[in-house]
Amino acid sequence: MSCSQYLEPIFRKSTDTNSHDTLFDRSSTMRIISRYRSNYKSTEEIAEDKPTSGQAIDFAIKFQRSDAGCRWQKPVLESPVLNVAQNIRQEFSFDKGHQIISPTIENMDLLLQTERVLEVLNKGIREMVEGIFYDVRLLSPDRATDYVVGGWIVIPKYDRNLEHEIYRKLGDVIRSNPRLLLDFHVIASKGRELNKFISGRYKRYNPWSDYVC
Amino acid sequence: MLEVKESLAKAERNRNFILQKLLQIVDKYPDWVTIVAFYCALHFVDAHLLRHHSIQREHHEERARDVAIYMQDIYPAYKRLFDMGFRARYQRIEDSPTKDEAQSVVDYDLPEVEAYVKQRMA
Repeated sequence: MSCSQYLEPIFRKSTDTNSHDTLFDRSSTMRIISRYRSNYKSTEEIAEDKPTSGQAIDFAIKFQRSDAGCRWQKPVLESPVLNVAQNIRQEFSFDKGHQIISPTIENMDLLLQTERVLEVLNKGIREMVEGIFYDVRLLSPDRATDYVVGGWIVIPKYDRNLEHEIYRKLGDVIRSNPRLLLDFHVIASKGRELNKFISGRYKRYNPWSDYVC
Repeated sequence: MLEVKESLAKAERNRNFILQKLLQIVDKYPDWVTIVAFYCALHFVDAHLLRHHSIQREHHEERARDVAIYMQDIYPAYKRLFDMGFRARYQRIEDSPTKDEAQSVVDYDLPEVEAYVKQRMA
């Protein structure tokens, strides 16, 4: 099976920002990456199959707690939340002057490492927060091998001690993964329309209103 | 890139501006209080990283990582200052830090960073 056949389900055209399909499905992507990694032979052999520059990884995921029992769960794919998350991903990156990374064989290891870091982060803070948005981007155009994983960690209301606790957890993650650059911001959701706060452009949905635990 | 002494001078100048002028208008402009407070902290951190680790950074993300690794005790305070300043600079006026948030970074987070750096400069 060719590289493009493995990757096609997860790498969509980045211009299709209004489709739910543009979002990154985490579990299936990990399976695909695993299959891909176990099959590829060398960079030269698969060079022709690399995704084009017009394709980007949709890496925005929202974790949320359900109303019943505060269980940690993944979002429903049909939720408008995901549409907003996709737009936030783009908005956030463009605001920062960064560029969403394109998937290549060279950065597969980084994506896998990122997944592991975020798993650790989620375990550390999930009882304290309402949700997390994140993406992966280049540090700067002239530093094409350095990536930043960043986004928003949303807490219910302004609380200095809670913010400090989350930052302490983030510090732990950074120290155990010094190669990765993390850029997460903690924000309080109370009284804010978060979709506007984060993206500035999306006035239709308030993705958090249905999910406050 | 600034030398240690120059970074400390800028940090103190920013700190004095907050205490002598900006706190008088914190009700109306809490965003500017947080912006100056963050850059005050940044210069303190830069001075420490250069003096003790010979590190000079241009990117916020790299500097924040260095603080997490080399200045672990003040990472939460520094990141909070960074976030407040970031929101004040890039978000809508309605989403900027509130007066309470601005006052708290001046009362707690910035003094924490300053004390940490100055104790190690002697």
